[in-house]
Amino acid sequence: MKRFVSIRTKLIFNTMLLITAAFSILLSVIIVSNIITVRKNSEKSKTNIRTSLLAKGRTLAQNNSIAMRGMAEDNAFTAIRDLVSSTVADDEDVAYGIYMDRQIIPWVYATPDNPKGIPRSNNPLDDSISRWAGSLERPAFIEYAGGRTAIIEFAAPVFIDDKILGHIRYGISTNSMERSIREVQADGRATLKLLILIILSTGLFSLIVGYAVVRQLSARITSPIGSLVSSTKSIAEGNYDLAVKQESNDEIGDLAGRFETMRLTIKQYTDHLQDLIDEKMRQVNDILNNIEQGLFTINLDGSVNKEYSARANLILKVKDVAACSIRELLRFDMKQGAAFLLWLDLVRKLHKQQRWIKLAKLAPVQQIELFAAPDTLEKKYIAVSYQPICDKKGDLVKVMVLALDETEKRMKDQQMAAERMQHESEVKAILNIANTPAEEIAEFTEDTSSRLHGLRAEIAGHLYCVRRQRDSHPATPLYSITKEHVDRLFRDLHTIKGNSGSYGFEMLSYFAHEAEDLLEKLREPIQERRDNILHDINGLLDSMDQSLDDIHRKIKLIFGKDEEITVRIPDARINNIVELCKRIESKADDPEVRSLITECIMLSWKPLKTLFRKYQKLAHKTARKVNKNINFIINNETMSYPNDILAGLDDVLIHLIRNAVDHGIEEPGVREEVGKSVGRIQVSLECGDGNRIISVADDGCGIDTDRVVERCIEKNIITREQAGRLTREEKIGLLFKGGISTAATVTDISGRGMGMQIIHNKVVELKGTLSIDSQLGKGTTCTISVPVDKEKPLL
Amino acid sequence: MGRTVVIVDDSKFLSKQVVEFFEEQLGFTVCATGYDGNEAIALYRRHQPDLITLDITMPNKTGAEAMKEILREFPDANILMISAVRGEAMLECMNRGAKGYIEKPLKFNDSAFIDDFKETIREIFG
Repeated sequence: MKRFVSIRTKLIFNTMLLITAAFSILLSVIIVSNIITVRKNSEKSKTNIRTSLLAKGRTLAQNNSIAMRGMAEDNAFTAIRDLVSSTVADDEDVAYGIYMDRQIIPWVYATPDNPKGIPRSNNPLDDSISRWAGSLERPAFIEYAGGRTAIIEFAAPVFIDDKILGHIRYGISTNSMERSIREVQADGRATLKLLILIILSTGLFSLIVGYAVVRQLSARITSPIGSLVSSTKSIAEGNYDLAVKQESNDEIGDLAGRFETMRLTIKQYTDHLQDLIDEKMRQVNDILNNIEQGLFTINLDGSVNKEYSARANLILKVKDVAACSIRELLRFDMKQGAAFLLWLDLVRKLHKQQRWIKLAKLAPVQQIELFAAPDTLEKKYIAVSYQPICDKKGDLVKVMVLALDETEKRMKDQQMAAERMQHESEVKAILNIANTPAEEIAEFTEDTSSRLHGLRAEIAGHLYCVRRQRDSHPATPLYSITKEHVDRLFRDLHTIKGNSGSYGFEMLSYFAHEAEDLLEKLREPIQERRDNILHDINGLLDSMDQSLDDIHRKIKLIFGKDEEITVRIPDARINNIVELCKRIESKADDPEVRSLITECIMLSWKPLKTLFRKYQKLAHKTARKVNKNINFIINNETMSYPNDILAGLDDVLIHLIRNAVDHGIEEPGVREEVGKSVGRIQVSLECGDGNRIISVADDGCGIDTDRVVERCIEKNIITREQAGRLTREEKIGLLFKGGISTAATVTDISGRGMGMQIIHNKVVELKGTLSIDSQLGKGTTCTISVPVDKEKPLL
Repeated sequence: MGRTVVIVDDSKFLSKQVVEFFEEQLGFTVCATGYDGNEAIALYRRHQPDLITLDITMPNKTGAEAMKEILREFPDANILMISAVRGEAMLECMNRGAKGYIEKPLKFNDSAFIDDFKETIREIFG
């Protein structure tokens, strides 16, 4: 990734670079052109000065040659010397002046150092220039390097009448010329320096001004970019609420406009999405609120997390779920707390292999009970369930705990149970009516009705007295009821309560009990108004009346259609009649008398229900002893039989019924385990072909015949080979052998062997047969068939 | 190639139902059935089946005790608890190494119960 450099920096840098480059080029151009100009100027001035020097030298040489004609002719040394010396002295350009004769002997040799011009020797000059000069016939000049500077020598012959007398020579120094050239060059350089200085300072100034301007300008250009960048950044971060401002009217502005459109589109979309999410959340919340579910999460060490639904506080009756421990939230006792940690450990280990629903069932707390408020006893019932929360790898990280207030549901359940109970009690009442002799019931209702009547009259009387006393003595004294009166009322109520209870009329019994409680208040020192209590008792008496009416209706329902008039006759009288009939039975030949005798004998017959009552009681007593629940059912219980129909079978029946209850019917827990309800003992009696056939059936565990056979082999009653050949009936028959039942045998057959042997022996004694039909897990039916005593033939 | 199972329950009737279920619905071979905790241990030693089912409340030695002894000898034993005992006793069995549990009553005519039973067996054998 390239390093970020802002547009502004780039703009400033490039502009500065441009300005610098422009000035550098300008500077180089100026320098070059200046150098060329200076060189040209110096050449020009050199030419000019040289031309003027040449003209000057030529003129000087020519003029002197003419002027000296006469002097030379006259050999006027001094005049020539003076002329030449003064010329040298007067003109600083003249480096020397020489006049020499034909023999090249100098007459004058004037230099600035030798102003008088007296030659150093009178010998001819022998340098090449002097020889060149001595050979001239016309004026000429020559240039040569004379020591430090260049010298142009102008020489001209001095003649008279074509006779050359000598030569005048002047050496002109180029010193002044070069000085001028140097000056020109120096000027040029100075000008250049000045120019450079000006350009540089202008450049610097331009740079500074340029920087400032560009900086300002770039700021103006980049500020919309900056805001655009920050806007897009906020969009990129998911904030679509900040508008993108269109600050400039250029491409950036255009871009900003497009971004704004984009932002609005996205915002619209996301807003819609948010709306959707909000809507869904609302729906979810609605659902959660409707199911009143409170939830929070816990870690695998049992610690409670911060996240939880507000409803959880409400449901679990705490201020802040997150500030509570799981022990406080789920109201653990010590044992549950430890078990809960074990459970968390278990689910962490097994949640990948086993279904959560099974693991959740093992959590030690599935329901909690809370008081609805600190000062009430009203309870709330909270169902607790658990859900796993896993990370991406599928490992369990947390457990969500859901608390559901089930109070209302439970109330409904309870209400339903109460209703069911009421129905049951009604059914029970009906059954009790049906199971009780009509005359007994009639006696009860009559008695209860008259007592109720008396109670009502008495209470009404007291109410009247209370009112009258209050009218006559508004202030005092308060009405009181004597103890004797209350006792009498109490006795009547108590009798009604006891009687109705014993006949199973629970509602009537309940109202009587309530009325008793109220009556107790009349004994207490006066705390509230008597008439209130009396009114309440009156209300309860009304309810009792209704209950009694209800019982009447039921009685009518059961006995109503059959308006047979029952007459109570003491047993002794019936026995007398039966005895008398039996005595004359053999003497009577008249069929009508015989049928009369039969009718009379049948007076002593009793319904099976009555005949089996003793055994029913026995069954229930046995069941109570071994903590089992049974229903004792008598087939055709209303059918009547002679009183002694069960004679001789007492032992057998006792054993059969005890066996069925004790060993047939399973323990309530076991029955629940195998999905059975209350145990059923069913007895039946049939007569025919001179036999009494009695069966006792249970819906218990049945006989494990394999086990019986095993026991018999163990006891050496039979061999294994014999056992292999036995039929099922024969295997059951082994039970009658006895001795196979010991304490060591397993529960479902224990004891049965001995009992069975006794029964078997008794039945054999009565010349009857015993058969057992048993299905494992379904139950056992024992059927005995015993002949009727020949002495007492059945009709 | 069917798997083998030993079924231990003090109720002969239930034990018979479980045997039928394992043989008919799950294709197991039932090696033996037992009626108490001591038998459970002896039968496991003798047959070393792929699975043993234990009731918790049994005479002489409870299923939980039998499980402990079996696991002590055979740490890899697959043990399925089948019991009406719920709550902490079952949790303890699971924590001590039972591979799964089935709650009584056994409702073999309830499809949900059968599905749960089969799923539990699947979970045990992975």
